[in-house]
Amino acid sequence: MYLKSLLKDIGLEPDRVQMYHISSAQAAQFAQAATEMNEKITSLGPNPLRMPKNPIQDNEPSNE
Amino acid sequence: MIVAEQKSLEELKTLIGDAHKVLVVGCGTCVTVCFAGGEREAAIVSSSLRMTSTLEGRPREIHDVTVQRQCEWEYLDQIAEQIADADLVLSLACGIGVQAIAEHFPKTWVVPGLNTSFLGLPREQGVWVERCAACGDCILGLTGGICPIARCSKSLLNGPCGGSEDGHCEIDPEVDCAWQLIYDRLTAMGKTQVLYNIQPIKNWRTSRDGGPRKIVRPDLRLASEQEE
Repeated sequence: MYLKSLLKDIGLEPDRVQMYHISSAQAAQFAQAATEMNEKITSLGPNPLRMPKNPIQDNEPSNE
Repeated sequence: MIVAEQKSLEELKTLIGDAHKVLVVGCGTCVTVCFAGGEREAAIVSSSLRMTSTLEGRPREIHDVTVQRQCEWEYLDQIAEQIADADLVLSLACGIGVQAIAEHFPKTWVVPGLNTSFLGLPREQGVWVERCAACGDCILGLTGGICPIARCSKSLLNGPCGGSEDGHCEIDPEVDCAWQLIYDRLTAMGKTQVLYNIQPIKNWRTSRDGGPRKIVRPDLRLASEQEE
């Protein structure tokens, strides 16, 4: 996926983004995807952008 | 249209160097339609650079703005204040736009965010191909609308070379032989007699070979700007 390669270039883990094709009738698959993604994200840890090495000096919002 | 491609994020970071306040400037014409430097791309580049700067522990202030055309002074004047405010301008326009900013704002350091490649068109969605070499002396009227200067690897004027094989060029089997295309087209239109007019050696002085070019239209010049 293009976004994965973009995240890699930026320095974030590409696995933080995943695309699932699920229809509204596939409840079980949705639950499984949510569980899987939750496990993956938990193992990757918090978003590094929310924990900068140096505090941001200016007024830019840090929720990127 | 001018077709360009974005430089890698790595290269952009090197070009930006230590600048703390960067203005990314997009352009609303050619680079928008080849998805290299339009409003969306400027926002994405701006955001990517902010994120990567923060991750590296060197947060920067990066803003983005897009003008309709970067190659004309009137449009650049609209963002003069933002340009003056920045340490460095990262232009996502073609090479012309980058130079226009540099020329119009001589105190600003401008770097290019794209590699400007060629004049061409989108043959299909996502695929752009070269069509014009800007040679300054158009002969499309003699070749059924297919340019041998841009599309023939050798820019031949009087038919294919010996390397034409199965309608493709010897340099790459995926490149069409321009002269095969020209011949096919003229045959289909019943105009092959045009090929019997042998073209003399091309005068390349109207092309890049003659040095940087200029066109002056006296009928369009403003009286105040005309030279005495």
